[in-house]
Amino acid sequence: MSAALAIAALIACLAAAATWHAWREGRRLRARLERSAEELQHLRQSFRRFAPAEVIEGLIQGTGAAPEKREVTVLFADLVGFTALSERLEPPVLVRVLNGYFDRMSRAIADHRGHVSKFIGDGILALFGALAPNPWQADDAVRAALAMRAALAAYNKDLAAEGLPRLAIGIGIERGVVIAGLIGTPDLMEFTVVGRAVNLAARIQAATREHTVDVLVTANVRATLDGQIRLRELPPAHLKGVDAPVAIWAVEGRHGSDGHHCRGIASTT
Amino acid sequence: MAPSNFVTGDITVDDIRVDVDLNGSGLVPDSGIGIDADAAAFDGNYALEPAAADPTLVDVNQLGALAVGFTGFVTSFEGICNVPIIGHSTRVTHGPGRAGTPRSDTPHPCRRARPSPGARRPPSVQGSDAGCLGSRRAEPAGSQGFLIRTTSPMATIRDVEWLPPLLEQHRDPARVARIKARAGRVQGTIGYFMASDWVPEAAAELNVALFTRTHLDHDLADLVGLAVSQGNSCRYCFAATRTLLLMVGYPRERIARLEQNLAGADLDARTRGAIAFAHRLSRCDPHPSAADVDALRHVGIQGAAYRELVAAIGLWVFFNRTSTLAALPPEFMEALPDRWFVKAFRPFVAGRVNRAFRRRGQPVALPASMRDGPSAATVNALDGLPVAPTLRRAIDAMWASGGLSRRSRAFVCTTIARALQCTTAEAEAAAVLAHEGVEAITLEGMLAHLDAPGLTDAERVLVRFARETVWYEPAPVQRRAAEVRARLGEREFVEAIATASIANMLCRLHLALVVV
Repeated sequence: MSAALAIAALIACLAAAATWHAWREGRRLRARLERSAEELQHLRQSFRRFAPAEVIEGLIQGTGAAPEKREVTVLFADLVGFTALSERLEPPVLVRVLNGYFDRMSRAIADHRGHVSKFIGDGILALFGALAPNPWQADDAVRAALAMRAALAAYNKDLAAEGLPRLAIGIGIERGVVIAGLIGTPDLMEFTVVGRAVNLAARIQAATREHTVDVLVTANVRATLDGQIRLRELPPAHLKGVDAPVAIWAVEGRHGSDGHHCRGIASTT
Repeated sequence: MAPSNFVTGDITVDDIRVDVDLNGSGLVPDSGIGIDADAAAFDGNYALEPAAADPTLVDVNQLGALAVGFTGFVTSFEGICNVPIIGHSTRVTHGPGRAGTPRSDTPHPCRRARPSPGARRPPSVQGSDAGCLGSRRAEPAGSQGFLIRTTSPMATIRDVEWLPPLLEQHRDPARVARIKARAGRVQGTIGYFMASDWVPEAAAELNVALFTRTHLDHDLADLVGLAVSQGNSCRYCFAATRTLLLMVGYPRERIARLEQNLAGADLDARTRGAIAFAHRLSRCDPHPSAADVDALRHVGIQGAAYRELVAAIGLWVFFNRTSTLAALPPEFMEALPDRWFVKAFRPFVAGRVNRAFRRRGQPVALPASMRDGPSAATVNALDGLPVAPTLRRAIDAMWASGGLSRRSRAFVCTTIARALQCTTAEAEAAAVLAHEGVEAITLEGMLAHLDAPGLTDAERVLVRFARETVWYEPAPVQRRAAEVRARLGEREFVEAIATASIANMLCRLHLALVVV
């Protein structure tokens, strides 16, 4: 009898231990699951600024994100004479100068509803209308370029005060249909766009040296551009990799100013 | 003689975690990061209690959380990033709730404790200007015992940057009583919109309509609200919906799982389908398609249930925008579920809250007198639902109000319609503008460039603000709203917010109810 009781007690103990172990394991797995879910939420929130929400959802759900055609305006900016500059400055100074430059340019782009797709060396690839449809993308891109021009002028004053060399930029802007999607290898993937508009923006940017101007736009941009933007037509550019000469315009500035004061908005009805 | 009121001792601090936020974007092929600090100060209040058996031993107990600060804090990067880097701040914070708990269970005769009431150091320290691109998970930094964990500055919706309120709350008990008598209840936030002669009334009635369900079950509809608010990063609406779900009996753990991964949570197919559609319609990029409607039909949402779902999404689009553009303070609502009295009384008030907020409606035919007017096609498409007459009244009140001219309002509506490619809404607003004497060339110029010679300065401000309300991140759009607020009177600003919010809602409703 006592042996049976002892066996029953032993079984009860084993069952209790197994239950406790299972409960603990369940709690551990729940905690892991919640950590994973939290990381997914981090991903979703963080990457909203870098890719359309649909793309992020596709990534998170594992359903992928189909590449799609989008009409975007591509702004390509590059520092003029960067190689020479990098040879003159000590690495820490160079990095600090570049950081200041990228920071200011990125803000000017973001302030006009663009987003920096990537930094390529000292170059900036910015897109307008890639994350969400934007009927006013050409205006936004050119206004961003003008804001970049103004921000760089202010930055150059700061650099001069420190005895550092001035920076100069060239900006090329083109509008067109591109393929937008996740591009890269499984290890290194990014949301970006590919297409003729990207190449053309880069080529036109290079042409700013030849014409000693800082902002050039194509006919596609000019066609939808606000008449308040002052343009100057330049001779068609012969661009590397492009068969026909490309019509280009230099952006000189804006007619009038941005300052507006509000009066008389209330209805009299 | 030993000094009085002074105890020397050592406090051992275990298990510190330091979170490093790296702001930036792009690629860094190879770059090491070093973080050094000359000293770390742990400030907190401590209770000292001499041991009864041996008063020379003092038990030290921490009171409340420690504030952690660093001095001589420097970040450095090894080598040069191959690709130039961007980023202007490196922020280091101690891990929440884990840093620095003195072990008080084993009193040590040599503990040193210096209670320092008053000034507390901030728990975060701004680092140097150098910053490296992207986020890298770093390894624990050896002897310092720091686990450096890189996290995004926008880790969860509660971390989304949110500006202080752009409007002041006004008290008008008599008006609130009238609204309550008409709508049935009022939400606490209508005080922010009192400068307008119609927005508080419309918001209260639309809110009641939002929670009155005829064909959908309440849980599904509220989860849709959670999803739309999360997608729009509306901290206020998200917290309000989360609190409501908790109050009516949703388990806390389940809510936590839902908010972490709504789309992938263990939900039934019908709810998952509704949430997926809600995201699609709220974003409108691309527009909802016939395939999306078919997908809903396959999970049993069709006909009146579909229209009710669309209406709910539209109403959340409206409330997300009014809350975000006015920057309604979300903190109270976010903290509410963790208040002791909420935890204690939740089981007892769940039924009452459920009855007060979630109502079961009956099909209501839209009266013939309400079938005409602006956005008639959209409102009429909701015929049979209790929300239809409410929406009709809100639209009519908006257009009748003198808080903003019809012309300004139409400019706002047509801008939003152009952004969302809702041609019907654009044409309707254009007709209003034509009736108001706006020349076609002015309208075309405005739609093409958000500017035209015939626009007043105020209208320029409004149309630029209107386009910002279609797709946005909270903090940037709130900064724009603050700029607009500085240029407009309070009443005009409230009207601008409400008009933009209604226009966003109506375009989305039209695309889902009439176009698809």
